[in-house]
This record gives sequence, C-alpha cells and structure tokens, in this order.
Amino acid sequence: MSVGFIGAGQLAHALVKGFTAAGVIAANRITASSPDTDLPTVSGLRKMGINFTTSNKEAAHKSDVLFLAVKPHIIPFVLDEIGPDIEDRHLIVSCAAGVTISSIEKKLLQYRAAPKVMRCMTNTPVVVREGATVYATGSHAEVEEDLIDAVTGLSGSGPAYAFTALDALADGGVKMGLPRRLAVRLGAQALLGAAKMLLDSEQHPGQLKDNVCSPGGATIHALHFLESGGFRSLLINAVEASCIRTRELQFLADQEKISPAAIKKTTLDKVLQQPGVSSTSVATKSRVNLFNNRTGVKK
Amino acid sequence: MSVGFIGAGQLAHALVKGFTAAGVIATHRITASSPDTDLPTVIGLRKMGAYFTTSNKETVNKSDVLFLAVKPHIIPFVLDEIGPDIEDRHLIVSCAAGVTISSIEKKLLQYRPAPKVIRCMTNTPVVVREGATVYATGSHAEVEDGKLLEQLMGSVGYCTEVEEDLIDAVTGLSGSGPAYAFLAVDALADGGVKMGLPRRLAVRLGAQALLGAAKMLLESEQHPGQLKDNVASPGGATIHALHVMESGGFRSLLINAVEASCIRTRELQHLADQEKISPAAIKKTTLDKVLQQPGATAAGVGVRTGLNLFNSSTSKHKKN
Repeated sequence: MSVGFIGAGQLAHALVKGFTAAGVIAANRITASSPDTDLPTVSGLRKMGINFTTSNKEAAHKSDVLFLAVKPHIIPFVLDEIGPDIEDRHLIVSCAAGVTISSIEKKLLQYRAAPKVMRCMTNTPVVVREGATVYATGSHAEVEEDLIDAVTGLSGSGPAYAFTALDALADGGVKMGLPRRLAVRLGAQALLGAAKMLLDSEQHPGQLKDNVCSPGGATIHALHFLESGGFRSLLINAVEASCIRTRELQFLADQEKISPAAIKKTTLDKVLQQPGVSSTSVATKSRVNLFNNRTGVKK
Repeated sequence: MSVGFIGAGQLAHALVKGFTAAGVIATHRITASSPDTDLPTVIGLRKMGAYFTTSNKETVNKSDVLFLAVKPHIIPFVLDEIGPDIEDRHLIVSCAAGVTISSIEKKLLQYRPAPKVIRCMTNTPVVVREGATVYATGSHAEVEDGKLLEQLMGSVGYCTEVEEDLIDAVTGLSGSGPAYAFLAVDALADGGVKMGLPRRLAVRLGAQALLGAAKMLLESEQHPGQLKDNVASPGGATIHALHVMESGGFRSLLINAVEASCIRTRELQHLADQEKISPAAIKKTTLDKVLQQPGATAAGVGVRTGLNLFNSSTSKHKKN
C-alpha cells in the first residue's frame, strides 16, 4: 500500500513523521507533492526519505491512499487538477477544515462513477504519535460528519490553546523566580500528566480537580483567580469561535468562490508548468476569465 | 530498601500507585500510616498490597526512606511524634508545600545530631507515572541520598534537583498545575458539547489535544509561541479562536494563578515557621487516636498553644 499527500506543509510533515515513527508504513512508499518547493517542511519531508515531487498528478499516480493536506480554499482547485487521474483503487482522505464530503464527491463525480472519499479532522500532535483524529465516511462514520466542525474547534485547534497556556504558565513561573527552561519543562509536564490522568481515569475532571485542592491550600487560591477571570468561559468561547469559523470556511468553499487572488500567482504558474496540466483543466472560476481557451500559458 | 509514608491520603496513594506500576519497589516493602482509617485512599493503599497501620512510629521503624505526606500544618506535630524513632539510616523526604528544610532539621536536631532531610515538591500525575518533581537536599543529606530520591521519583515522571528557594514557585506551577488543566479540559469539553459533541467524546478529545500538545513541546526545541504559530493557518479557525482567548486575558489569568499559588505557599510556610498550630487545626478524634498508639505520650506530642492542654504527668490527656 502506498500513501500520498497532496500538499507538503505542516500537516503532511506531521503525519509523515508520525507514520514513519510508528512504523505503519515505509518512507519509500510515501509521496508528497507541492508546486512550492520553498516550504520549510519540504526539506523535512525529504530528510525522512519520502518521494517529494512538484507534480500533484505524480503523487496521485503513486498512491493508493491519497491525503488532501492543503488549505480548504485550495481543495476544489486540486480536485479539478487530479480528478482525471483518480482510479478505482484510490481512497481520498480530505483533512481540510470545513470541506464537506459531498462537495468533494460532487467534484470527483465529474471524473469517476464512485469516488471513495473520507473526511477527517486530525491535529499536529500526530507528529509525536499523540494526535486526536476523527473521520467520517458518509455512509459509515466514526463520528457523524456534522460533528467534525465541532471537533475542529476542540481538538483541531486545541494544541494552539495549549501552547498559549504553556507560554503563559512559564511566564508565571519565571515571574516567581524560576529559570525559563525549567518553567517551560514543568508546565508542559504538568499538563501532560494531568491529561494522562484524565484519559486513564473514569472520574470527572471536576473530581480530579477537587482531589488536587486541599483545604486552604495553594491550589484552591490559584483556582479562585482563574474562575474570577472567566477562564472557563474563554475556553468555551475559543472552541465556539474555531467551530464557527470552520463552518464559515465551508460555506465559502461550497459557493466555489475561489478568487485567483487566493492562489498565489507563482503557485499557479508552477502548477501550469507541470506535465499534463492544461489551463482549461484547472478550472478557476472568477468573474474575469484568466485563461484563454488554448493550452499552456495563461494571459 | 523499604519506603514508608507518614500520611495515607492523595499524595501517598498516588506515589504508591506510581512506584508499584514502575516496579521500582515491591509493595510489601511499602508501609503507610495514618490515625484516620476512614480516608478513601486507605482502601486503595491496602488493595495495592502496601502495609497500612495507624501507628506512625511503626512506619518509621519499618522504613529506610520516609516520605512525610501530610498537610503542612501537621508536619511539626508528626516530627515531634516520630523524632525519637529516627535512626541514622533514615532519609526523611518532606513533600509538604511551604515547609522548609531548616524547620524540619530544627525539630529533628532535638533527637539526632545529623538528620538526613530532603524537601521535594511533586504532583498527582505521579499516579500515571507522568509526575513533575523537584527536590532540594538538606545539610546532612549525602549526594547518594539525592540520587536515590531522583531514582524513585524519576520512575514516576520528571525529576530534577533545584535550589530550595525555587520550590514555592514550582508549587505554583507544576504542583497546582494539574488542577488548572482539569479546569481547562472541563471547559473545553463544555465548548465541544455546546457545539454539538457528546460529552464523553468532548472530554476525550480535549484531554488528548492537551496531552499531545504538551508532548510536542517537551520533545521539541522550539518555543511554545512558534508551535502555536505552526497551528494557526492564515484566516483559519484557530487564529479566530486565539483572538477571543487573548481578548479575555487568558494568558494573564494563568500567570495570576501561578503567582497566587506560590504566594499562598509562602504564607503557609510563614504560618508554620511561627509554629502556630492551634489544636483546632487537628481534629480531636485524630489527636485521640494518636495518643492511643503505643509509645505516644502527651508530653511526647508537643502541641504548643496558649493554653497548656496537657498536664505534666503521663499519658492521660485532659481536655480544656
């Protein structure tokens, strides 16, 4: 089995690193593609021993499982490019926030009768093999597809909330006299340990919190500050904001309003230089028709 | 080597669970004591195969490494009780927030010329072997004693030696830290449930996201801010969420929390140093149970108060 990644950015890099560390697939059976070779993650991917190419079509040809690891607004563009190259064997796994299975199927149905599409939402800690992933297949689902936007808000964006918290906790430690490295280390270890306790326990997080708070002690004094400042509410707001934005992105994508401005001109040029790609097959819809009807170079 | 715990509450339970899971010591070589047998953790300790007793003196006699796992205001009380039983072999490890090495040594010097004392601050995730522990060694503790503790505590998580004056700050950060995390996961789960997720899945995903992020940071040379940047794609969902957090002063709340916990720890230390242990701080039933232990006399348990609760003659205790 071969795995391919359309896109060679943070997500592709994190997944390849995790998969190879887990030994679930050999590096030489992985291909990743991007027209942009300047991405910092490209050298990381090469170092891991996978096949890197600037041709998305080549990634499609070399794969059985094909991850779409590009930003949501790029998805329709990519689907039009590789659509003709999808075979029966291909399993398309989209990792793009807010992009529905039906929108992907709709595009691919122009090229194949029964495209196999899955949608997943994962997160960057896959890079250390501690990711959180949900997926939906449309017909049979680990989660119902309509929950995936909420998952994006929670565990998709979650690591960023944690990194912000860790930066702040370390600041607190430094304020009270700890050296920075030790403060970062202790803060991360405390979060990791607490999360593991929760995952390994049947108990409610509130119960576990109670267990740490001895009467009149240091911890309950600290918790009062957090509550007074609306700490919990900020986190609920964050999950909500990320989920809402995900749904907005989905809405924009469904309207297929991909303006050419959303795709860097340099990237577009590079894609058009790939063998087999013609400007008519890369159907960028806009009010201004940037492509003439003849092949090759755009205006 | 045998390990004993004065105190059979949350901390003793968590450490025993972690040590036995790590296989660093056999359960039959562990003793824990408390006059209070009603603690829910006592059942857990028994189930793990540790030897439980109501006599603190028995624990001392059976141990080489002796953890003081009681609340800070109980420490002086306990030290007076077990002081006469401490031998040269004993390594006393105090886990009590805010209690200084010098205050412990001062008490024990009444009984021994060179008591070996180490002060440590750990946290409850030792129970799943992902604790965060720091320690400082007293004047009579040898290098090997520190290494021994580091081996024990290193089996249940991260452990490093620090200067004693940093330990209150560590209490505020990683001592109390798990509580901040439990609060955060509860709130994240509420957010997930608000947006339509079932509760169990929301708790699971929230905890997993925190765990994974913390692990990424520990295994990376990069700054947390850089790792945050890597997750926040332009115009995406995450940066929208981060904005609402920043608008609410999220970071500041966490700095406040670490500071508040550290300050309270220092307060507790100050109160303890003044040796203002009122009898009200010790439940009468507990006091009675201690005095019933063989070998414990009212005079040996030196509870100082404004009123002299104990007459000068032997064990029969009076109440005021």
